[in-house]
Amino acid sequence: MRVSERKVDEPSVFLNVPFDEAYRPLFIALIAGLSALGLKPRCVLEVAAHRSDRLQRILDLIAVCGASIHDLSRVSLSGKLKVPRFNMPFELGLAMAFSRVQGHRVFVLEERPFRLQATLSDLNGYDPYLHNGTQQGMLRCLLDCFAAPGKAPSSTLLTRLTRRLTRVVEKLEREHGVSSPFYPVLFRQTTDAATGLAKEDGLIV
Amino acid sequence: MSTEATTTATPKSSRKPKPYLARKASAQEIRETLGVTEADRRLVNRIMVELGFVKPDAATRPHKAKLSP
Repeated sequence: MRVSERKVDEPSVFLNVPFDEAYRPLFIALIAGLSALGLKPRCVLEVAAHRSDRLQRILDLIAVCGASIHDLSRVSLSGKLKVPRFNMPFELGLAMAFSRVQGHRVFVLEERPFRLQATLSDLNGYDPYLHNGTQQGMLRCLLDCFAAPGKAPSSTLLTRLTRRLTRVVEKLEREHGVSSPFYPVLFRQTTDAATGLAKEDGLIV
Repeated sequence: MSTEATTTATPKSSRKPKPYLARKASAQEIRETLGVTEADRRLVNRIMVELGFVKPDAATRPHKAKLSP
């Protein structure tokens, strides 16, 4: 399988996160925070689930992103079959490979301390960024990972942007008759809203 | 795992790595990359106006009904 040779888009950040109801607030904080920092949230929602070349498209997407965020806080069994989901650690592995060959930056997030040592011992010796399962924690992680020292937007501003974006997402979900933002159109519109709010606050141009 | 890895899951023995400081993208560039459509823009803008987060812009402001002479 070859990766198409497209130029790396520095501000693009690939999101490898769980798409479940409990993660909704953190997902909104991720999009709000990244947009406020002038970064582009990218994720598999841009890749149609039914496509036979899905893996190829995921590889191509990671390849053009300058960095990626991998939240490994979902380690429980899920779905009707009560099985663990392997997509996230698998995509982390893909991104790790890119980090070796083209300088792609990988950021690993967790909710609880020390758990990663048990779930992914290959990363032993490395501390993930901890968000504690809160929006505030997620925004702190983003500032740690992406903000230039001394130039970071204030936590208050980011929190307000996240709160506003949450209200927009509630309305968008109502418009579309769904209860989560994990749909391609909602992802696009949520990011558009976050971008508009960040621009309104003078965080980006 | 090599200590030269670009991963930022921090090695316990080292300090926190430097953040990834990418070029800042503009709102327009983010929208273009994500493939935001005109229909997306109109819906989002309408909701943001309803919530009082932005003022209506010329593109999405409802047209006033023409007054009959």
